[in-house]
Amino acid sequence: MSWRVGWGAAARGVLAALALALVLSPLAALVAQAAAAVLGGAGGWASLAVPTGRRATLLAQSASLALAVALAGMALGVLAGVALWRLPPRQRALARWAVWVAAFVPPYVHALAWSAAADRLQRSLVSIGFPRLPMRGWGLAWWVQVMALAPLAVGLALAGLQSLDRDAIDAARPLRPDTAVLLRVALPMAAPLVAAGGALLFLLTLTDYAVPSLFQVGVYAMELLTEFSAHHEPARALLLALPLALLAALVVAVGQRMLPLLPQRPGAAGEAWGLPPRWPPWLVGLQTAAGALLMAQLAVPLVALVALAVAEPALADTLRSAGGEIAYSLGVAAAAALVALPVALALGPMLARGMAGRGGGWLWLLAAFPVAVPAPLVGVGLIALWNRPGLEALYDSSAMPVLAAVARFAPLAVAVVAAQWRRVDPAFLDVARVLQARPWQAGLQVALPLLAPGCLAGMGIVFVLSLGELGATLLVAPPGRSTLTLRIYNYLHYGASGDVAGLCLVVLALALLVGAGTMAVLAAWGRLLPDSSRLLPDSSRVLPDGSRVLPDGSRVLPDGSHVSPDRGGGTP
Amino acid sequence: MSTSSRFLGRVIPALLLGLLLLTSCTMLPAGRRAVVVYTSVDRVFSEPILDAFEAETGIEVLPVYDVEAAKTTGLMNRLIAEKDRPKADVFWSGEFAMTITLQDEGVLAPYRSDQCADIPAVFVDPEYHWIGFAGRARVLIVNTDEVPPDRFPRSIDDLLDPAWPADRVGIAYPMFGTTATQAAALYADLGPEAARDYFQGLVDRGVRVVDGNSVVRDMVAAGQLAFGLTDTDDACSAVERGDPVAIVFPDQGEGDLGTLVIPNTVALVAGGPNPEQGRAFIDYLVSVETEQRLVDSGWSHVPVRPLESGPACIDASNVRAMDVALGQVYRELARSQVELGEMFVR
Repeated sequence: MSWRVGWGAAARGVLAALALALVLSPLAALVAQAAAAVLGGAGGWASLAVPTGRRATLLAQSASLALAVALAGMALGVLAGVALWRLPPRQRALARWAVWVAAFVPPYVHALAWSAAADRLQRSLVSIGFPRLPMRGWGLAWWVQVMALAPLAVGLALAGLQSLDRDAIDAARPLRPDTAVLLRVALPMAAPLVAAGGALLFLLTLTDYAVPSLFQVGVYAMELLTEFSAHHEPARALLLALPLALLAALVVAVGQRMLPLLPQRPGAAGEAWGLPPRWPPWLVGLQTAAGALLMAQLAVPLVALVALAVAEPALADTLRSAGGEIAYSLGVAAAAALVALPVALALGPMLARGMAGRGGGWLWLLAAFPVAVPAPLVGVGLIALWNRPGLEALYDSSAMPVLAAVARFAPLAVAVVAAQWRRVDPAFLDVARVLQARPWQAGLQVALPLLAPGCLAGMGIVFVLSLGELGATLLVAPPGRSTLTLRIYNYLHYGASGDVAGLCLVVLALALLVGAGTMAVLAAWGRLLPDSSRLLPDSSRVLPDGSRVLPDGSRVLPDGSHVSPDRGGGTP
Repeated sequence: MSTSSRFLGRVIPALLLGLLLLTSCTMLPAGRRAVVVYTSVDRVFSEPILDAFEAETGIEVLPVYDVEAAKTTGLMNRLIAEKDRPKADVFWSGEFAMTITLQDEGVLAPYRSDQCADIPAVFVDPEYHWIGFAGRARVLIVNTDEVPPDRFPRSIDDLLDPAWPADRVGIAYPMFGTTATQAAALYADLGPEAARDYFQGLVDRGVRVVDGNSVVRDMVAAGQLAFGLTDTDDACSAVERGDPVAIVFPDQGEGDLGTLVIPNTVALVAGGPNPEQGRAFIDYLVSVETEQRLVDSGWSHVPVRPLESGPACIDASNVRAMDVALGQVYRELARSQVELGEMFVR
C-alpha cells in the first residue's frame, strides 16, 4: 500500500509543479530579468518596488476605491440576496438564475452600458432645465464600478447565503426575532463566502484603470501603464507592480482565510428558512432598494446596447464580418477554461491545505500575483518563454492566447476549487481511500465529482474573463488571427458605437449561453450526486479548524488524517 | 457516482480534442507566400489596404492590429520582445515615435523603396529605417451647438482660457498615443520648462482629461465638452456621421506655433521571416496610389506629397505645421511621458 501512496503523492507533486509552471513561468521569466537588472546595478530599479510620495498616494487611492467597491458590492449583494428569500419559490429560482447568468457578462460590457446610460440621463435632465453635473470624480468611478461588478457581487453573495445550515437557523428562530437570526446566525455563517467574494471584487477593481480613468480618478494601475509606456522595460514595470500584487494577495488571503470557519454540510444546500422570514419595515425597504438596483443593473446593459445597436444600419454586415472572430474567441476561451481545470485540480487542494499552515500567505501571494500583474507583462513573459528555436510550432499557433488566458485567470479557478475543497467532507475521501482498489480511483470517482461544482464555476469564470482578455492576447495572438474583444476595442477608437454595441451584445449572448449552460450542468450535477448530509451521522460536526468530529469522538483533520479520541481528539 | 464519472469521461476528451484542433488548424502551413504585418492603424482604415494588396499581388497578408486601449504597450513591446526571433515582416504605424523607438531598439532594417523618391526628406529616415507618408494632424474639435463660429477656439492656449469652464474642454491623457507625441513636440519646440508650465496650467485649471482621442471626440460630439484636442481622423469620423462638430487647425496665424503633423510610418523588421514580401508591401504602401486611397478613406488628411484630390472632410492644403524634426520630438518623448504622468496621474 505504501508504494501506491508514494507514487500517488509523486504524481500529485509532478502535476502541481506542471500547473504552477503553466501559471507562473511567464512571470518567472520577467522576475529573472528584473533580478538580473537589480543585481547588475540598474540605477534605482529596486526602489520601484517600494512606493513613496505620489505613488504611495496612488496606491492608497486604488486601495480605497477597491475597498469601497468591494464593501458596497457585497452589501448590495447580501441585501439583494436576502430580498430573494421573500419571493415565492419559483420566482426566487428564476431570479437566482438571472443573477448568476448576468454575473457571467464581462464587466466592461456593463461599464460601457452604464456610461452610455449616464450620458443619456444627463442629457434628459439638462433638457428639462437641470444644471449639468460634472461627469467625473471618485464617486462616479465608484458607482460605475459597483454597477459593473454588481451581478458578480450578488452571485457571490447568493453562493454564501446558499451555504447556510438550516438546522442552525431553525434552532435559533423560536428563540429570537427573524432580524436577530439574520444578523447573528445567518450572516455570520454566510460571511466566509461573502468575504471571499468581496476579495474578488477588490482584486478586479484594484487592477482596473479603465473605469477610474473614464472619470479622471488617478490609480496605481494607470501609473504602471505610464511607466511601461515610457521606458518599455517589462522588468521595471514588474517591480512597480509588486506593491499592487502584495496588496491584492493580502486581501485575497484574508478573505480566503475565513473559509475554514464555514459549516461543512456538503450537498445540503437548499432553502435556509423553513418558513418565509418576517422582516421589519426598514429592512424590507433596504432589500427593496437593493432589488430595484439589481433589476436596473440587469436591464441597463441590455437596453442601452440594444438601443445603440438597432440604430446602426450596417450592423448585419459587422456581425457577419466578425463571424471568424466570434468562433475564434469561443475556441480560445473554451480551451483556456479546459486547461485551467487540471491546473485548478492540481493546485486547489494544495492551496486549501496550505491555508491552514504557515506557508498559506505565500501560497496566496503566488495565486494572486498573476492576476495583479498588468496583462501586457504576462504577454511579454510568454514571448520570452516560448519564442525560442524549436518551439515555433507552438509559438505560431493559437495555443499562445490560450496560455495567456490560463496564466492570467487560472489562479481564480484555483481559488474557487480551493474553496470547494474546504467544503468537501473529509469523511468521503477517507472512505474512498479505504474502499477503492487504486488511489487514482478515489480521486477520479469520488474527489473529482465532489469538486465538480467548483470546477465548473472556476471554468466558467476563466471562460468569461478569457473572452474579454485584451492586453496579453494582443501580444501573443498568431498573425492573421483576432479575437472579438480585439475587434471591439479597435472599433472603440473609430467610434463606431452601433457596431461596438452590436458586438458587445454578441459577447453578452455568448456569456449568457455559457452562464446558463454552467448553471444547468450544476443543477444536473446536484441531482446526480446523493445528498451527503443524509449519509453523514447526525452527530458529526465541524470544528473551526476545518476538522470533523465523528460520533466516536475521533477527528478527521482537513488533510484527511485521523486523530483518535485518546490523542486529544475529544469533542469540545 | 458512476454516472458523473461517465459524464466527465465524455466531456473532457471531447474538450481536449477541440483544443488540439484549435491549436493545429491555426499553425501556418510551410511554404505559404505571405507577409506578416503588425499595424497600429485603425482596422477600418488598414484592412481595405491589406485586402487590396493581397488581391493585387497574390501575397497573403497576416495582420496583427493594435488597439488604442493598450496605451502604446501593445505591438511595440511585442516587436521588442520578439527582436531575437522576429515574427513580423513589416511594422506600419499611425505615427512616428513608436517607429523611431523600434529603430533605437535595433528592431528595424533599412530599406530604400523606389516609391519614396517624391516624399520630402523630412519624412524619411536618413538611413532608410522608416518612411513617413499619409499625415494626420492634431486639431481642435468644436461642438457647433455649444460654440458659435465667432467664439471658435483658435489655439491650444484656448484650453487655458478661463472664459471656458474647465470641465467643458478636454484632452486625452498626454502620456499615451498621439497626445503624448504632441506633448513631446511642445517640449521640443517651446522648451521643457514652457511645455511643463502649459500642462501644469491644464492640471491646475482642472480641464477634462479622458481616456483617448476618440473619447474627446465622442464627448464633444455629445455636447459634454464644448471643444477638445484630437486627431484629424477622429474629428472627421464625427463629421462624417453627422455630429454637430467643426474642425479647427490650431495656431495657424502668422508667427504662431502651427499644429503637429503626424505622418504614418512603415518599416521593414530586421530578420523577419518574409523579407521579400515585406519589401513588396512597403513599396505598395508608400506609393502615391495608396496614399490617395488613405486620404479618400478618411485616415489621412495631410498627405506628404501632391495628390489628385484632397480629403473630403477638411481642407488641409495650407496647414501650418510645427517646425520640429521628428527625431527631435522622439528624443523628448520619454521625459515628457514621465513628467506628465507625475502631473496628471495623482
